[in-house]
Amino acid sequence: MSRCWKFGFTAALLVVLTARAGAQGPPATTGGNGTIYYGTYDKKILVIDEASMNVRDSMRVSVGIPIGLTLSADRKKMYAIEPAFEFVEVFDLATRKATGQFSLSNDSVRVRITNFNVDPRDRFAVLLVKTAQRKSDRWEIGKPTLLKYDLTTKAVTDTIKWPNGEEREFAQIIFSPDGALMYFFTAEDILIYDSATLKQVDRWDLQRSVDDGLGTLNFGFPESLYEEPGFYTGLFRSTDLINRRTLMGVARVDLTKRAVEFYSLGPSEPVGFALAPGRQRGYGLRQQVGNYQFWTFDLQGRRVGQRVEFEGRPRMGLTVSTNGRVLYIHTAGPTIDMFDAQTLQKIRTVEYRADMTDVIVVP
Amino acid sequence: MRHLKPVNRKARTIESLAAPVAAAGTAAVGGAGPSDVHDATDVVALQGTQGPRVPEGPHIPLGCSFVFAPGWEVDSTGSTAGLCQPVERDLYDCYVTCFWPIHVPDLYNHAPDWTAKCAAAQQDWRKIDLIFP
Repeated sequence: MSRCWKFGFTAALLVVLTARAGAQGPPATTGGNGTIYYGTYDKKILVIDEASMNVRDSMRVSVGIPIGLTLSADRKKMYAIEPAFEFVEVFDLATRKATGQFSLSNDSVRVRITNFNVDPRDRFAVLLVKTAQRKSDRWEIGKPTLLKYDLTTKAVTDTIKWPNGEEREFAQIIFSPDGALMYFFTAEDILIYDSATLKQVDRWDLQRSVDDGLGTLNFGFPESLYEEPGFYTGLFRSTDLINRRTLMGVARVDLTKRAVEFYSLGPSEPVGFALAPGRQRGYGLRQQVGNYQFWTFDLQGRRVGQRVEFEGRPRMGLTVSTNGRVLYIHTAGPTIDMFDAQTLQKIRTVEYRADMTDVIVVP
Repeated sequence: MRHLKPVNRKARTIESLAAPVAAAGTAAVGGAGPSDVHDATDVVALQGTQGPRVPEGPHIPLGCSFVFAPGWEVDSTGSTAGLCQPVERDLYDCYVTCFWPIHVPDLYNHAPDWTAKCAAAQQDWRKIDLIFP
């Protein structure tokens, strides 16, 4: 009797276990096999495995809180700048070690680097700087200056003259993929410089490339790791002066060939844009208190897909995962919220031990 | 209310920003004194339609010390909906920028290591140091 009972119990247990194994659903959605570099107020850069969202390693930032992270074009180095914008530390991502740092400040003069653009071949950087010199009763602030800084010798090699002598507080500079040319954006056009001689060699009137009658095309040339080098995809906005309305659409610009593909989507709305891998889709965040929305952009069909409200919060950032299946909501706080890119439903929230300063998701 | 006197250039600039409407009103009546124009010493609300000027949105004088976006107790529109949720999410961002400089320590001069004991304000707020000037 007891043997029968044991046999029956064991058989029943096996049946239950087999049924449970078969009933287990598909594995949880993951974002891919990339790496997330997460700057923290703890003076570290966390290295997070995207598949598990676990912290794999961390890089100690000796210059201070890494308030801004910049990835090199070959994705082998990372530059971290601290909040006073005086010191930049360089990290080798393969070894996850700091390889050096640089600054232009000295005991009497602080030089703040407000813009930092690295040549694709890591030979030099174009820095927009401002000096601050402390006097007995005041600080004297210098004029914004563009400098060419050699990353190997760690020395300033040139001062770049402002186009038409017009100083600016901000300067957008993009390099061609081979580093031979430098594109300087002004309000009217794009000036093209030879990056070796720093002489202007050409100019590109972006408005004329698009359409004379379209109105001013506002396009920010957003960079994305999911785009080909030299190409920029994002939202543009254009004001129709005749009908007095602002339209928005998607543009893809080939900077080296000076070619623009664009199409309108409709009236302009306050929404951002993040390109997904494969360039078939994009995602956007509308951040309005009480009206947080995910937008999806069907780039192949050239239309807005879904607009879905969700429980958001102020100051969110959006990045698409390396496999395109997950949307990461980050910034302001110690969390990364994961949303399914198809259903736009929340998967889970991952919490880390430090608030985020900046984040880069590297495929 | 006239308890404040400008003592440096910046304060005089802020005072002059608030003065032009009242001064124009006085000039319009030939300097004979304001009759239906408000006194320049009147208290002017930073928001709303009271007072001699009707700014669009909050009136934010010059200077980093007056930045209210996002706010601490109220946001830039006067409500609480625009504050970070929870407010601790924004504590350190305000510290490294110039938002609400009286409420958070000064990163650049006096408290560069304020985040050393507590890197996640929302989680470990009990460990956050109080900084006394």
